[in-house]
Amino acid sequence: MPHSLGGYIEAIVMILASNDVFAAARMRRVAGARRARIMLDDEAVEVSFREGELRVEPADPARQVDGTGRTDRGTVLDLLAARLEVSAAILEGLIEIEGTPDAVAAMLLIIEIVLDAAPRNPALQLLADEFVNESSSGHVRAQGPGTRQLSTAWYPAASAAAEDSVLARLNLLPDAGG
Amino acid sequence: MIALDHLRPPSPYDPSAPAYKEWLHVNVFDHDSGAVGLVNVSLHGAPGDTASRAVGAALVELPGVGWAGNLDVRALDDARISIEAISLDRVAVGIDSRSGLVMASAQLPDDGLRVALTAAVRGPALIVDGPIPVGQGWIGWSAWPRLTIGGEYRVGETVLPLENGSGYADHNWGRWHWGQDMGWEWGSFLCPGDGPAIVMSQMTDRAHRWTAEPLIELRIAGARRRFSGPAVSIEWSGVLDALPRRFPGALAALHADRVAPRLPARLDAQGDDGLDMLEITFTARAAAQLILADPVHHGYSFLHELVGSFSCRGRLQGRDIEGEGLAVVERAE
Repeated sequence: MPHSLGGYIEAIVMILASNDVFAAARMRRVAGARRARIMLDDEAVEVSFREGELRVEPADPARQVDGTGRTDRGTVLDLLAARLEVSAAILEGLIEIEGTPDAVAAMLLIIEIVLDAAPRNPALQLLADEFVNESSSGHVRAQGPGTRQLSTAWYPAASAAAEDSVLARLNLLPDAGG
Repeated sequence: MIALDHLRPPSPYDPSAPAYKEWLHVNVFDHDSGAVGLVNVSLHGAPGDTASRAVGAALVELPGVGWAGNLDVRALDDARISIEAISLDRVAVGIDSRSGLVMASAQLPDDGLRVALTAAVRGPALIVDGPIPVGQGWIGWSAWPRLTIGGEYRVGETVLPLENGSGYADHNWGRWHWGQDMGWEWGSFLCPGDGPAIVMSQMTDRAHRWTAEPLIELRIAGARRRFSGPAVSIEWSGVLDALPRRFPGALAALHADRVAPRLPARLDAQGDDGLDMLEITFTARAAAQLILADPVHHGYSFLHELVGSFSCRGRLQGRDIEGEGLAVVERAE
């Protein structure tokens, strides 16, 4: 039976709690009392820990959250298949994480805790396989070698005129000559 | 033609079994297209431990296209292991020590790669005295520096017959944990046809300081010479102007700080024992980064595969040697 987004999050936390108590404890400590809204395609849930227990609730746009993370299954599949680097996905807007700096850092650290636990945790690897198998059927990717074609270079945003003015005054702009 | 070889899984009573590592490895060089590829199936951890992994890797770098292929990470118990072959559903390698046949297969159509090859060993095996210390453990290995290749690569829609290609195979086994203070530098250099076939190897620590005697083995037209110890010099220089493809994706996401490692662009290696001499100059054109997670201990190692071309010159048994070809070198840390 296919998992929902909330089902995957519950399964990850349950596996860590039963197989890797240190990773589970780190996750709870990093999350603290924060509430995050997680969105995958058109699914959205809000997650938090209350008295050490994970709570997954339907997303309520009217409710205040500390951080928000949004991506899509195609991006996750490409990340898992090594066709896309995280830095490129963020620059392309394929992964959006918003919140206060500490909330953003906490969300990224929780992702790291899960990824770091996975190599020594067969249950997490099986869950990843389930996600790939379940998601691949609905997200047919053009088959072929290489990485996903990206359009965004480093420094995606155009610089403002005022910024250019400051850089020019400090002689920090590259030479105009070819 | 070939020394008897076999896989060496640990017994159930081996206390070092959790540190068990073993793999069969094949490189194939297509001199017509310039494609350089590898097929490798490796075992990590004690048999019977659900955390132990089997990893199939099939990667080909084709000029103008880039890397095709991927890693296939499975439970070790999913691997079919015989005396001299390791098979996963999508990647398999076998080395038949009696017939001298080497077989490799990979079916990774989602990653634009299919490999089917049958190769014949030419010349005796390279047997390395061992075991060699590595990290807090040890490694043993043997190699077949030149294979006569049959079969093909399929990279995307492009079919590359390998009849004019060259090949290399090796078998490694030992006990260590990824993430320990360990590394190595290794290379396979093959000229087309009957030209020189060269193998270079050096165990190091993570900072690439030598921890054992280096080795360069030269094979050409039935003759062979091994340079070792102080007869060998290895120098890396330059910075490769290309970002590596990184595998597997989940670990690449975890180690975002390794997205742009400072990899060398050039290798100059020399063997000179006063009688015979060999100089190799290798220029890298692309790299892949394989991130190796230990299934038991918390640790990671990083294996960089650099592909490119090389030239060599030297003297063997009074005869001058010269050649150009394709190569792959590894830097593990």
